[in-house]
Amino acid sequence: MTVEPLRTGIALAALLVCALAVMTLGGLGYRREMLVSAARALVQLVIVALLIAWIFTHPQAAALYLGIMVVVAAYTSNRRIGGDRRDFVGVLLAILLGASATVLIVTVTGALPFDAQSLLPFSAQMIGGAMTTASLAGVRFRDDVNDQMTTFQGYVGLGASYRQAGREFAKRASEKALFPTMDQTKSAGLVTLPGAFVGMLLGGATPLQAAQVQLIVLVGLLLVQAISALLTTRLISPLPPGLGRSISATVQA
Amino acid sequence: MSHADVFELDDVSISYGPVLAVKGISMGIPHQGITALIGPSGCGKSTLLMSLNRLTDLVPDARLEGTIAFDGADIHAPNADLVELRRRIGVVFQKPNAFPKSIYDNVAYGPRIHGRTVDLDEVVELSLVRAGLWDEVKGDLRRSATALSGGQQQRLVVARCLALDPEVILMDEPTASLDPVASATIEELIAHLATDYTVVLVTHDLQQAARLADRTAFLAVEFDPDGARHGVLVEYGPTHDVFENPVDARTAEYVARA
Repeated sequence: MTVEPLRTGIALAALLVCALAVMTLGGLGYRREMLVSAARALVQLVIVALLIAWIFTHPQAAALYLGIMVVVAAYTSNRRIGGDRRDFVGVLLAILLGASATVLIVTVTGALPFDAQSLLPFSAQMIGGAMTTASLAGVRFRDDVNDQMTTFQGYVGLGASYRQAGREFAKRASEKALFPTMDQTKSAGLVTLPGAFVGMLLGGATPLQAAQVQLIVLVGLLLVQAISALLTTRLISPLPPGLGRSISATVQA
Repeated sequence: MSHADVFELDDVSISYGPVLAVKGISMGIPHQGITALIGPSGCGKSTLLMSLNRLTDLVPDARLEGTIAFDGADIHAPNADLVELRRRIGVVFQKPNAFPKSIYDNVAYGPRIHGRTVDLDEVVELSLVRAGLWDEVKGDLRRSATALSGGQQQRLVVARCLALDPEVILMDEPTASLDPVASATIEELIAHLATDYTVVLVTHDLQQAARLADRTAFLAVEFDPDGARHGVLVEYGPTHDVFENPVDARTAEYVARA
């Protein structure tokens, strides 16, 4: 399949104008935000496309690119969780180890060729999946502890450290964070055609090839997210920063 | 204060953010027996109780001034061992907070995290016996603790504390959410425990304080010139004196409701 920039531009403009018209007719707000989000997507994707095109010709830069991606993912997720620096390290490890394990298996089995063209987009998708789950698991973990504070106090009141007490809440929060991906995997092809599948078809691959790659992505995400959820809930503090420390003015002074 | 005091509080004020909860509390809590904290809602008695094993550390923006010594050592000292402090000072809350685990695992939780797994079955049994729950649950210790009645759960929580062989048990209105029969059982248990442990009991029930406590502290609400309220310690002494011959008019007025 060939894509012509001019025709793409015309299509994008037509789609945006129609979307704006629908929103205006329907009296919906946030039209400006929609325009801004479309503009941001345009700029970001053009930059990323140029960057990735450059990396494909300089494969040694791929590791650096992925490294930056992991750090940004951890930063984003930790901010969502409301964590401090120590929590950031936990989230970073959760995302890094989850994504690395999956990429390693896919590479060792030879399911995807060991080149930048295959591994870069695959790794990026795994990092994205790990980030989403780290955020979900981390937020849920802290919310659960907060909602069940008397139970948490019960553990702590028996001399459990905050982390030991938190472990009692980690399992449930991790499980809940995995539900969206499990549902997505269960309904693959029935409710929607997943992204990699659509992309491969548009790119000219056969449906069977597209299905194989999509399967690797979906099942890869299951592993990535299981690791990411488990590690996030075990490595971050169950309490928001500042809570659980000495409240004595004389000690703090 | 005397050397027999387990806790020595010196000019303790606790605030949550800008809100002062209790102000300038100084008192000693003696070894063994039951010390009751009574007073109207909002006088800070639960706050004061929870500060004794630093569970107030878990309240956002909490701040404490003054000192609380347990067994002669400042519990906020930089080298204070929080885990050990909380092992030595058990706590029972108003609402029974059984863990979502089996009865056995609830009682075994404390010993396990402190690495005391020798004779665990024996520890669990003995703790349940002392909490007066053994006969009701011995048939199926693997049953979920959350399926027990409120009164049974509260006794389970007591058994959980006892499994760690604590020196003090803090109780925050332990019978407030129970029916009269379950309350009476818990009261009997508290009276029984006081022969071996130091019990600090927060209660709204004045008759309960009069029945159980050896010493009673009455906290009242005071208002600042700008209208903000906080709790202060008005009177503290042997329960009989506080109820029969109160020194302060505010105490007399409050205990007259008993």
